[in-house]
Amino acid sequence: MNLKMKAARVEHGLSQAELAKKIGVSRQTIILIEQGKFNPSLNLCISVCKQLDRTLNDLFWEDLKIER
Amino acid sequence: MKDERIIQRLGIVKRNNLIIIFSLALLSLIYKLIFVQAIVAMLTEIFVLIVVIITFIINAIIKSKEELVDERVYQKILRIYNYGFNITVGLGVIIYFVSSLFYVSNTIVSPNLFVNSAIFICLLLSFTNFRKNGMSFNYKFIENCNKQYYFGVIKRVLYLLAYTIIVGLVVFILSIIFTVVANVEVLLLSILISFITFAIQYFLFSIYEKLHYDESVEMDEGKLRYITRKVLYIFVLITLFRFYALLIDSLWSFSHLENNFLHKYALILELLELGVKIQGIDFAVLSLISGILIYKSIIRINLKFLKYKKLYLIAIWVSFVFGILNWVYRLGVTMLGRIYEFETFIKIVTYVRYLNFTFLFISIFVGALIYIFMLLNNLKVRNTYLALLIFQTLGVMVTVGIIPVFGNLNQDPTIHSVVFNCINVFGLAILNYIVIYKLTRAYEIKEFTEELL
Repeated sequence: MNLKMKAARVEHGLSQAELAKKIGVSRQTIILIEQGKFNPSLNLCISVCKQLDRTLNDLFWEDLKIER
Repeated sequence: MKDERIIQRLGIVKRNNLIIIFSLALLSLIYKLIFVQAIVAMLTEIFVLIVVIITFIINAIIKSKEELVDERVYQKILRIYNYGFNITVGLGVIIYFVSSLFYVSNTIVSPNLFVNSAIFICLLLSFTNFRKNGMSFNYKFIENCNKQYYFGVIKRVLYLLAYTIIVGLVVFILSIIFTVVANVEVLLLSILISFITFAIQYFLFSIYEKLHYDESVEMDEGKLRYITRKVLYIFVLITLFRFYALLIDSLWSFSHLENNFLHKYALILELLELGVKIQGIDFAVLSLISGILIYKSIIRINLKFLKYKKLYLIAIWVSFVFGILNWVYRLGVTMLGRIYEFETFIKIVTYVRYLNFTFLFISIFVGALIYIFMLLNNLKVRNTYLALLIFQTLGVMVTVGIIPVFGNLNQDPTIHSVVFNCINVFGLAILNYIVIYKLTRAYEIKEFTEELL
């Protein structure tokens, strides 16, 4: 689940349909990205970040604990 | 809208559709090799098999040339599946009707006998394939308002009409150039019937899809529905078909009576009756879908029913198999009349009729058991269910002749018996709907959330 993106969208007062319209994709695509079921391309990630005033790190970078 | 996910998934959907078409063509080819043995009759299957094999070979070559199959290569491969699918379907249909010019018999139904059911099954599989990949059939305009959505659907139907005209023109021009064995007018009529059938089925699917989409949006917004509009929609479709089938059956029976004003329309009614027989499989499939949708509604809303889900699923599949067997019987009964002598034929028909009645009585018995279960568990819906059960039992008893209201219904149809059957069909549908509505409504949203927590 991409909760960071969902939180940023809600913070901007946008519904999934509204964000989808602004970026030029379908609502289903936004749902699947938020659910972590679709890996967007770099271009699409950038479009999402621009609309939500966030950086790529803010929305799409996952903090992984690297085991050595 | 240039949605990268849709472009990617569309390729996957078309690849899966190509595999389905390939399997169907292979089965059909084997059947024709055994029973038809005319090369002209197999041209479509051969064409489909060749194009699908070439598509997969091209993709295998692309993959083998690249060291690593990255996003760019993957998109190229999916694009080729897309082209392969469009060529297979676009040209396959033209080849099918053109080849029909050279081998088909001069009857109105033969080119359409199973084609329309095949169209329905392919449409259904394709629709399921789209859904599985998180896409809508009308993905280009599904998010628009109702008006724009249906405008888009009509536009697609018009494109289909243009394609049908092209197919018709090709068939007509070739029939002038070459010596053909088929009746061209009949073949052109069958192309038109195929178009109308496909357009209606596509339109009905589109209505369902829009209802489904709107309901999923409502669900995302937290609005919970008991029994959904899409279930009601399928219910209405099935009931209307049953009513139509009943009406045609009755009129057809009347037309056989001497001195009846319908006697002169016997041929038209014969054709409509045949249409009802062929469409039977479509509605057996639709009944199965509605059963599964209701099942999904029940397990989503009423968690207590989870432990009975296996029983419910068995009931859905048993009635589906029974529906299919009935369809096969209805299609084959005329053939049986030709194969066997009259006495043997009557014996078979009587045997099947008894089997039907046995099944009906078993279903009433099972219904009574369900009612006892409802009584023991003090379910609110039990009274409506009892009304449904009594209504169904009375209907069966009148039909079988245990209650001799209209004399022997099977030999002499009367207006009263037709009216009774109509009331029976609509009454059962309405009561069924109320039962399911109440069943899924048994839990208030508050209780539902409490159980979830």
